[in-house]
Amino acid sequence: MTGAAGYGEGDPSLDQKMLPPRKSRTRRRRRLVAFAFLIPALVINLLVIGGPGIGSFYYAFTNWNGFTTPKFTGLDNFFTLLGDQDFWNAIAHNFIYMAIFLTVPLFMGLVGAFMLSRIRRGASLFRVLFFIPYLIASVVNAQIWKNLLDPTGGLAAQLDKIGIHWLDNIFFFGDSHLALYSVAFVDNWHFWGFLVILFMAAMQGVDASRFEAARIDGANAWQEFWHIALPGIRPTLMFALMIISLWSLLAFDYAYVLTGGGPAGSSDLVSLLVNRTAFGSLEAGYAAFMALALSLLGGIFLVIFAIIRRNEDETN
Amino acid sequence: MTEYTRRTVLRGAGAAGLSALTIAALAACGTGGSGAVSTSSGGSGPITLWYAPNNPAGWNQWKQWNVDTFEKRYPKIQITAVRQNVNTMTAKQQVALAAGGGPDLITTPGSSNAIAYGLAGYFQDLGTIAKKNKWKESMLPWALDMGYINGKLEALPVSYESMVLYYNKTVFKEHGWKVPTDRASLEKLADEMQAKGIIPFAAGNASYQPATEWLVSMFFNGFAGPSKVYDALSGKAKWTDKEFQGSIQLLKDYFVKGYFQGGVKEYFTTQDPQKYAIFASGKAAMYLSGSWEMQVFPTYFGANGNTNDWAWVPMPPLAPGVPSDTYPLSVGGTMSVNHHSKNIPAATAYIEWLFSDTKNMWAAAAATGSEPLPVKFSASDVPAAVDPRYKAQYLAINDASVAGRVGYVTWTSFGAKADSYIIANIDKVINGGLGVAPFCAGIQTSFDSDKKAGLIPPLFTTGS
Repeated sequence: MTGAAGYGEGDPSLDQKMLPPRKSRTRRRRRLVAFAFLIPALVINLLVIGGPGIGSFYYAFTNWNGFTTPKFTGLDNFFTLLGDQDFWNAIAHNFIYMAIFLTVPLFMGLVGAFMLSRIRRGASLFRVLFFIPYLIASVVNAQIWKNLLDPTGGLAAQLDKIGIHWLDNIFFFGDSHLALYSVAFVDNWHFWGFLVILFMAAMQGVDASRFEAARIDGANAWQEFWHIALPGIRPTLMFALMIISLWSLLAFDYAYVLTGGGPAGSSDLVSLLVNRTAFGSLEAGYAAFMALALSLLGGIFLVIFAIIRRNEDETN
Repeated sequence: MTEYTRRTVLRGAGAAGLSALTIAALAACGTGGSGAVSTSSGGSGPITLWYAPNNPAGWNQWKQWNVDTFEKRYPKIQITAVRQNVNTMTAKQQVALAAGGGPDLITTPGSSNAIAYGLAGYFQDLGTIAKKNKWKESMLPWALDMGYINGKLEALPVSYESMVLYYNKTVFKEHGWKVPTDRASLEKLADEMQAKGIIPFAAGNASYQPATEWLVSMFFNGFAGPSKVYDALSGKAKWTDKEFQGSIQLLKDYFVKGYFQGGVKEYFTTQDPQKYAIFASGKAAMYLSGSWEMQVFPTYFGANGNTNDWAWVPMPPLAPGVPSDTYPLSVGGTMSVNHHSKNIPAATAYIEWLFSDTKNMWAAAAATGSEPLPVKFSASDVPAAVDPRYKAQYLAINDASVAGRVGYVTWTSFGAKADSYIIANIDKVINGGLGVAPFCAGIQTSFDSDKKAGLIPPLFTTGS
């Protein structure tokens, strides 16, 4: 292919060679300046992410208890992980969590954003209202819902007083069949407003003339959404899918405050297990290995999303 | 005096899940041997002490009795009291120590936890100070024994407690009930209570998930018996033995019968304030828990229109041959001097003051119901302002420890891994997701792992 190009067009090094010395120096200086600007961020990144990352990679292959000198144990932690029912129980919950979040809040966010995008008056108010839960500290949100869904003092008790017994004997956080879904519900309550804002911003970037043309052609709201809005925000949608997938692997705070992973491990997540293993069982090395496994899983997701995006780019 | 109770500090096991990674990165910085402190009386300058209160009022109370009083006595030493979060303190402390920092005085939730710090060389040897202050004579021998790590006195218990049966005295009086003295009378009473619509035992672990291990400890001592527990801790018996399986089976049966809070789901849902309110109101008649509860009861009993009264008795034996009137012994928290402290003399002076100023300890106990230090005392040493039930319980614990009528609890006498295993899995047993036999086998595996790692705390014996 390069043979078809003119002299020097396909070879930047030749470009360099052809530049007069002063221009070449200027370009090099510009590059150095740009690199110098990058250095502080790079150093911080290496210290804050690279350092602990390398450290935890090393500790993942040791029997470190968080205190004493670690001893290299090869693949012992890997084999322990393979037979660790608690880990597989927790990772299964992470995937359920992911499945919930890739559907419920995503659907709510898309519908909410599309509806808001069609409102002329009061859109800002709704935007703020939807976004407020996302701004409140997760611990506060969780405690509010813990009290609200308490069977003796919460919503159920208040409904009881007016003769409505729908929520009687429903133990949202105490029933092992409900706990995980109840935690996901509360987390979703705080999260979906973020998606509304994200999708709304993306929809505003879609060329308005497309919607107008569709309306002129007689498209209804659903058709506008399906054929114009959704394809128009495809990159944002992909981004949302990616961050939801990754965040579902790292979910911690709501489960920690609402159930602590209980009852009986029914809402346990890997991050909670890592925490318990490192600080409760004093098996920081094994906890680091669990975290490493989780990071690898996250890396696999990133690769999958990268491949999908590349394929899409090629198709387009 | 202190409020370094198990409840306060153990919660500190929580933190952001991936904090382990942070520790990992900082770990290489700090280990070292511990050298004995020869003097402490001339301490001066600043020292740091971390504390995580359970409630907003707890901070001021703690500061009043543990910081302000000390600073008045030792004006040359300034304490920088740092308020911590109960959910993150232990993890933060681990990270800080791994990085070569941390507070000058290190607190832990109990001996099980402290031993790993000691083995890592984070603690100063207090042996010389112990000799100087004659702690062997003034402290309860079993508690002092618990402070030794690898033959050095490093982690002093700063509070102690036992597990007993509390009951709503008013409700018992109304129904003409007598306190149970054995398993048969306990079950008969519980059935009678249920027939009258009263929950036998107030219980719940929604606020504090490890609370179920309190019951495990009580049932191990009540059904298998303290001597059997001692045998298992010393390696002469296995946790898979029928006595331990029987203990857990009985605990599960009681849950299935609805003795605890009316059922498993209710137990998992009930938060602490609800639990206390139900017990104080008489909707539940009994409560199996530790000495630390005496600090909380005044908020519910005889307050805000409640006119009910509470009392306590030792946990009745749950199997033939198990002695009655026994008291499982527990360390509610430990304190040590940070080996890397820049002001070891001042930090040591604080500990010396803590164990010598018993007047302050009793004043705090009278004002707040906080647990006493493990020091010897007689009835006449206790001021009249201290709740007589509190006084009676601690005198009974001390008498029992002299007579050898004591038991062992999971958070004091087990290693960290076994304790963590019990906390994580006992709820599965009572919920039906894990069998009794595999649960006990899991305890044995974790216990063996702790033993191999040298993480089993010193096994105390009491009596002559």
